[in-house]
Formats: sequence, structure tokens, C-alpha cells
Amino acid sequence: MSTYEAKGVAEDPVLQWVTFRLDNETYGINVMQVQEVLRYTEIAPVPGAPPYVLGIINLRGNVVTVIDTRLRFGLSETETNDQTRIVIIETENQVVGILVDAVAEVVYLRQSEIETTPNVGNEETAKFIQGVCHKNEELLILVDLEKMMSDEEWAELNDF
Amino acid sequence: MNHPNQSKSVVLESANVGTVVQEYMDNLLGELFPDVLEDLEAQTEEKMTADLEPLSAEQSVVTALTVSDKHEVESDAAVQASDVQRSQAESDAINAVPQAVEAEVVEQVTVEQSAAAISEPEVQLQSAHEVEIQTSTETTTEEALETKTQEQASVYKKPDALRYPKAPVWAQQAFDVLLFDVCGLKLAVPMESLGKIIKVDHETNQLIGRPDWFIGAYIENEQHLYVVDTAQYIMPEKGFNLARDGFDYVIQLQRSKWTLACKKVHNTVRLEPDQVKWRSQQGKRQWLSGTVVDHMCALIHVDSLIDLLEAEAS
Repeated sequence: MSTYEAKGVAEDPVLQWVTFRLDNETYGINVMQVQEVLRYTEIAPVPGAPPYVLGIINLRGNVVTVIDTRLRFGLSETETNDQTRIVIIETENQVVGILVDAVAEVVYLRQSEIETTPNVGNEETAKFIQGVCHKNEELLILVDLEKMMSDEEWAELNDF
Repeated sequence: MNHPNQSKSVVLESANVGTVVQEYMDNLLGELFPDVLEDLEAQTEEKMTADLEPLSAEQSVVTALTVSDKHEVESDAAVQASDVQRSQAESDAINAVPQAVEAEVVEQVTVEQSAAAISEPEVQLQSAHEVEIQTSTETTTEEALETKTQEQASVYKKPDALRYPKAPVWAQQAFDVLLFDVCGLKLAVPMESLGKIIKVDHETNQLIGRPDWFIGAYIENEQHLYVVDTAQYIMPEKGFNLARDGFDYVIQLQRSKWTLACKKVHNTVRLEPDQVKWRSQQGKRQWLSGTVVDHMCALIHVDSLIDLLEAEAS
């Protein structure tokens, strides 16, 4: 690789994103944060848990909290089906699962391809979106997992 | 074959429908823009008084101009005929020049009447002065007169440019607008500021956590445009919801990413600047350039609307 090419890659890095479906939209999360993708399994509800927590699952002996992504994103509830998946993600010090309608693929995006979205409105949900990208003739909405919950909420998850 | 009474009732019915529609539009516009009806009345009164007063002044000036010019021209021609002893053909030619001058003056007065400039009496005096100079010298050719007329015309155009201080520069003259319908309210967007009219043929991507007026992102030619629920944005109190009720077109503002959703696109019409009741951009509806009573529609100030949307998005 020439110096010029190396410089170009450094300035405009290529990132990989795991894409999943919720409602009619396609979302993407950074592949570095994804540990694994599970088929839907029974989720044990936790009494007294906040509404956005669906419950817990046993992942090879470890308890993992599963978040209701639809509720978190302000979307209506839906039935689970064969396509439903639990994506196990790792944030700063937490491992949690997010329930999604389906997992699609891994896409490669250049940093320059990502556009910011208009920051209209005051809702917290709007902050979840890191940017958008036009890929394969559809809009990919990139999610910032760190902002999916506040620090207090992340701390609260530790109690489960 | 229709019975005569039947056709008469149909005519009456259509007339009634027309009246009802007109009343409905009056009420709707009055409700949305309460100041429009008052402004319309005030505008009509102003227009009547403005039309009457300058006309009487102009008529007297025109009469004075014509009489004084003729007198000057005739006396000059008589002096020349006796002193210089020129041929009849030459004196005819000389007489022809002042007539042409007189014709020019009358034309100018007519143009100024239609323009209805406020400072017309001053302009008239200036033109009368110049006519006197021209007729006394008698050496002025038609080309020189044309040049002079063009110069005067350019001088007279300057006050016109300031006639509609609240209107954008491009709206100082007649301009085209596209009319479209949003939940019964007719809106107009200047063609000058129009990006594209896109027929919606696929779903709009919804972005979570956005306000109700933000419908989402619409992909068009491999780029995404943001769709604004026009009804919710400009009249949120009415409870319309284009995302729920559906929309068939999006209208791109300039070449920005912002588009306005609407149900129906009408035709384009040409507007004269004085057809618009121009608004100040200082008010609460900065997106509104003014109202066009002839078409019962609101004229959108596209640049301000983009600024408003960008400000909310930043």
C-alpha cells in the first residue's frame, strides 16, 4: 500500500456495520460492539424491572439482560417470529441483548458516506441516531448504542 | 332531454356551490390569517384612494404639458420660417420633430400613469423641462431623443425597484408560482425557489425520535431528502397528519434536503407583485411571504422556511 493510499484510508476509514430490521426500517450497529446473534429464546421476565427491560436470558451460564428495542425506539409492539433475533452487544462495561425483528447483513461503509441527520425535536430517542447512509438503494440508520440509554439506566441494568 | 327548469336549477346549484366554496375559502383563509381580511379591506381602500388622487394630478399635468409644448413648437417654427427663409419641405421636417417629441412625452406620461409612482409630479416637471430644452434647440435628432428617452426610462425604473420593499428582489416584477394543496389550504411556492416536484412512489423512511411534523427521509436519485408534514408544521393546531393520511407529492425547497409533503399539486400561475399582500419577515410566521387574495393562497418564503428548518435541526 502506498503512502498516499494509507493516508487516504486513515482519513476516511472503512467501518463495518451489522444491520437489523425494526418495523420497516433498517438500522446498523458497529460490528465491534456485536458479540453474537441469537435466535429468539425464552426471555424470563424480571419483576420490578423498568418497562424497557424485557427480561433475562441464560447465555452459556451468564445472565444477560434483554432490552425491548421497539419500546426504546418508540415503536409499536409486534409478535415474535422465525426472523426475530437477540443481538448480544457489548458496551463500555456491560453485555446486554437487544431484541430485533431480523438481522440482515454486515455492510462496509466509509466514514465519509455517513451523513448526520437533522437534529429536530427534543426527544431523547432522536439522539440514538448517529447518522444515516444510503446503501443498496435503501436508507441505513446508524445507531449509537451508548446513547440508547442514559448513564443511570446503564447503571440500573447492573442490578439484574 | 333536460327540462328547462332542471337546467336552471343546475345552474343555480352550481352558483350556490361556487358561493359556498368561496365562503369556505374566505373562512379558512380568515381563520388561518386573520389579518388578511382586514388587510384586504384596507388594501382596497388604499388602492381606491391611490388610484383616484394621482390620476387627477396626472391629467392636469398632461394637459399643461401638451398645451405648453404646442405653444413652444409653433412659435419656434414661425420664427424660423420668417428669419431663415427655409423651404416648405424643411419647415415640415422641423415641425415633424416636435410632434415626435410630443408623442414621446405623452408615451412617457402613459407609462408613468400605469406605474403609478408616488413621486410622479416631480418626474413630470423634469420631463417638461427637458422637452422645452429639446424643442428650443431644434437640432436634436430622433436618435438623440431615443437615447434621452432610454436614459429617462432607466432613471424612472429606479423608484420601481423600491416599490415593494418587503418583497424579494426577484418579486419586484411578475413571477411564477406553483400552487399546491395541503389539507384544504392552498399554498404557493415561487418557481424561482422550487427544486423538484417528486411524485411519491415508495415509502418514506422514518427516523425515530423526530417531531410529528418530520415525516422522515425519502430516497430520490440515490440521495435522501427530508420530508416535512406541511400541514403540521404550518398549522399544527388543526390536527392534520399527512404521515397518517398520506401524501402524493413532495416539493423540494431550492436544492436543499428539505421537502414539503402535499396531497395535490395544482398549476403554475403568474403573479404581479401588487397581487401579493407582502408580509414583514419579523413576525411569527416567517415562512410566509404574503397572501394572494386573488388565488386565496399563502405565498411561502422558501429561504426563510429553509432557515427555520435548519435552525430547528441544528
